[in-house]
Amino acid sequence: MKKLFSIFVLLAFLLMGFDVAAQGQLAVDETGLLTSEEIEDINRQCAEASGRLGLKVTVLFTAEAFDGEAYEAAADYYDRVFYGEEGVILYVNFYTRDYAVVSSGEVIDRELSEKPVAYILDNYILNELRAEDYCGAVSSFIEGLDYVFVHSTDFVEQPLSTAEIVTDSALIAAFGGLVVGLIPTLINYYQLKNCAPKKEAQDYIDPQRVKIYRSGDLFLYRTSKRVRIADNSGGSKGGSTRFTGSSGISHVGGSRKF
Amino acid sequence: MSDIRGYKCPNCGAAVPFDPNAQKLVCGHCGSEFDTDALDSYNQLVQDVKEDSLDWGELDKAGLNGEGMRTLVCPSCGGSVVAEQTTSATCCPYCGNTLIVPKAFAGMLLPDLVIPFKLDKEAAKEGFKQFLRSKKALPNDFKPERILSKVQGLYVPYWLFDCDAEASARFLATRTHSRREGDYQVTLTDHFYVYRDGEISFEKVPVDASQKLDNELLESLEPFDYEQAVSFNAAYLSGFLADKYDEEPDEAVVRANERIRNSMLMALRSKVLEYDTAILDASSLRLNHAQRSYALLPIYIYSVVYKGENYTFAMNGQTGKIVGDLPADGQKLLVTFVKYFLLAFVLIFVLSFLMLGGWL
Repeated sequence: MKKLFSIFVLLAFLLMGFDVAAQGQLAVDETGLLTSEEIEDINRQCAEASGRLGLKVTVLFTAEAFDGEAYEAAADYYDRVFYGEEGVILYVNFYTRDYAVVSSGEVIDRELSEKPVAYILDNYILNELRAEDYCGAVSSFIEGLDYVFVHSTDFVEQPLSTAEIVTDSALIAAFGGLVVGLIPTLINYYQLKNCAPKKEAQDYIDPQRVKIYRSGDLFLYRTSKRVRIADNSGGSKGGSTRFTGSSGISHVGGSRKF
Repeated sequence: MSDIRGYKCPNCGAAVPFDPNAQKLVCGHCGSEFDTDALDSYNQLVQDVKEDSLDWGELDKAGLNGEGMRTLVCPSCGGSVVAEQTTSATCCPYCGNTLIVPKAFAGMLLPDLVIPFKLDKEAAKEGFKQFLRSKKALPNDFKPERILSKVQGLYVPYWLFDCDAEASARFLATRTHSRREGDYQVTLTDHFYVYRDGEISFEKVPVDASQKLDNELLESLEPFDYEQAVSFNAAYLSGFLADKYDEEPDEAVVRANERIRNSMLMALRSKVLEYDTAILDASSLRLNHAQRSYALLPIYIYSVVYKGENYTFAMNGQTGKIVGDLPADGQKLLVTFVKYFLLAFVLIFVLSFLMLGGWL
């Protein structure tokens, strides 16, 4: 009986799949692209960063197709493995060529709100991924985290001072007043000058006797132009966004292409 | 016509040899490829466009009967009135009687048509008053009542041109569509040679035959309704001034040709549909059954000198349409601008302040 029970427990753990193996592992490579040394190095970096910043710093390399946005897929993975824990994940998908940064927990209202996450996405990680330096990409990601934690006040929008409000309002009002003032002035002026020579003789055409007796469209040749599209897609209109994952937990995240 | 034929690229003008690999004519300079039939048809269409043929036939050169001024004697009071050679009817300043010069309407100078005045002088004055009163930027001392007592009804000489115009127009047209191919945006532009040939009949295109009057002013008064035109009778001139022409028909026909050409091209261009661009490449115009006639058309006209500048405004004596060049009061315009500027400034400032401050 005891043996049977042990076998049953072992089987249950195995059937829970890869995520069980991932428990406790901050960096996971589902693609097999990284060597074991690289995985170990990335795990070490994530553990150090987690201790330093006081939250879970995790990484996933995958090649799985997903529906919706890459940051939503990243949030779903994070919630499956680290449900309810405060942390951040770097998600890299080699199939769709997306990378995403998603934060979870109370940190989404502090150091890892929309602007800091977008800042990390736009200024770190990309060059290393394009160079296929995946350890370097994780280092860059952690460097970005360190930066936004140290400079967290830079990302908080300061309210305008009264002087700034008055100046901006006056400039907008002056421009609007100029446009509104010019319209009736020009109308009054041009009412006085209403002579216009006739360039054509439309008033003297006999409509019964207008006919087109020969017409044709001859295709001559085709030209084509190819322009490379700027590589800045991803995230919610290029920034980052606050959203609720399929688990019901709120996240802040964004994604880009590499 | 030469039997030797050459093929030039419609895109860049370079020679286009036949490429056996592509089985098409391929330009060595720009790389454009053409079907042989298409390029043959294109060459034929280009050669089809002939020179303009603007033959109005013999336009009578009636000429003026002498230069300078002459003296007319009023049959009513015997007063002497000095008038220009081209004056056909005028008013005696002593007794107000109309003086008509019969010889002014003899022979080749006899008008074919006249459109009688539909609006009398009182209606003209009232129309002008309304026109001037509605102008907010008119100077206050440009008073309508003082000015309008001198409004004159005048029969203005016009040449009227009738013809059946045939035109050919060739357009270079393009149609563009784009699509995404991976990381690239690909834009494909198809180039077409579009031809439209058509015919339009023009009836009584007017060109004023008086050098004294501004063409722009008179053209602005159009159109006239020729259904109300009648055969000339000197009785219609009674009570009004009249001039005879001092611009020859072969001078006036240049303006008529320009207007007819522009109308033809507009009509043909309107038949070039569903293209993103269409630029005129070549055109030709031919006139058939061309005729001209001489008419007197009714206009009320007034000129005034105000602060050293001459201002003229006129009314179509048949339709009542008024056009003119009037002086503007700079101060009134400035007051208008400042009034609306301040109103808008205050409103927009308050709105912006509330929105930027987060209260709205």
